[in-house]
Amino acid sequence: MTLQRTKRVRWTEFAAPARFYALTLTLAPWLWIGAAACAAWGLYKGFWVAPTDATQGEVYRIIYLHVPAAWVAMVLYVAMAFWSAVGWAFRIKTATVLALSMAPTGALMTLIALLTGALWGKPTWGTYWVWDARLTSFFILLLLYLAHMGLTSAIDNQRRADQAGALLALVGVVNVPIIYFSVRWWNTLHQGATVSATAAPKMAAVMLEAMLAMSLACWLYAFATVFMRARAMLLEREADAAWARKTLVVHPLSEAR
Amino acid sequence: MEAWMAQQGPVAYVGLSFGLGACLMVGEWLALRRRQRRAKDHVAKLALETTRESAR
Repeated sequence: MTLQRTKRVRWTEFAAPARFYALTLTLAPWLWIGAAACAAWGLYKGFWVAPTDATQGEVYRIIYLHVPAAWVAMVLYVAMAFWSAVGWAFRIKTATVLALSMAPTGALMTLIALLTGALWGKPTWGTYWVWDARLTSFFILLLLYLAHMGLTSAIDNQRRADQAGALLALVGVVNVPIIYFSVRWWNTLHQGATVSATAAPKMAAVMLEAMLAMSLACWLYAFATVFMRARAMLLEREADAAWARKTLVVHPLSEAR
Repeated sequence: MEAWMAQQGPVAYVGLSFGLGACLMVGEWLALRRRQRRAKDHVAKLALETTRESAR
């Protein structure tokens, strides 16, 4: 009889800043390469393979950036609220840093979704902006991200700043289902969901493939930038810690340039 | 600007959308690189100061 020895991964170990730093540093090149590859594939499919839309013409191709950016912006806010709650409840500083790192990327994705939506709206609706439920709730998402960034950087006491940020993230998360269901609850100019988990997609397979590839690219980009910011933030907060100094010695060529 | 956009047609709107998106993302990446470098310099500076003090 042979005994099988299995090595179990304890995920809680990655809450330690040194382990989290090392893990995200290892993942970084793969995330960037993955994002670039998915973006290249998605753009090729979206611009060269996918046909012109019968009703919207060429301008529909904006959805290959608009929809992925909007998805990332919304889900990132939920993730930010989740990690804020974990960091606050269990006093895990890596979780708090992770939550704080998500705000600027989330704000950027929200801004991209709003700008590309406006640029799609002008030739399609005849206007850049209307105060309908979807657009207004999405604009509130941008304000929530900006408020989170402003609040956490305005309070000098780091612990209080983190708690205030966590509170704002948790209160603001109520806006995410409002964004999602706004097109069902109210009569909006913005169209309903084109892709749903419960219904068949309302778009051609090649268009869907391009949009999903671009979504994956946006997700990998978001992971890469959030982890990059979290690493910088951990070094800023723990500059005196032994692990930080050790990390710079261990990775002198890749990191300490 | 708007008249020019309308004259160019959908290409201008699609181009501007992807151009803005790419610029914002590259901008964020460059800003993060700078922040990371500054954080590392700070850690290295502190480590050097500690080494000097302990040598005294």
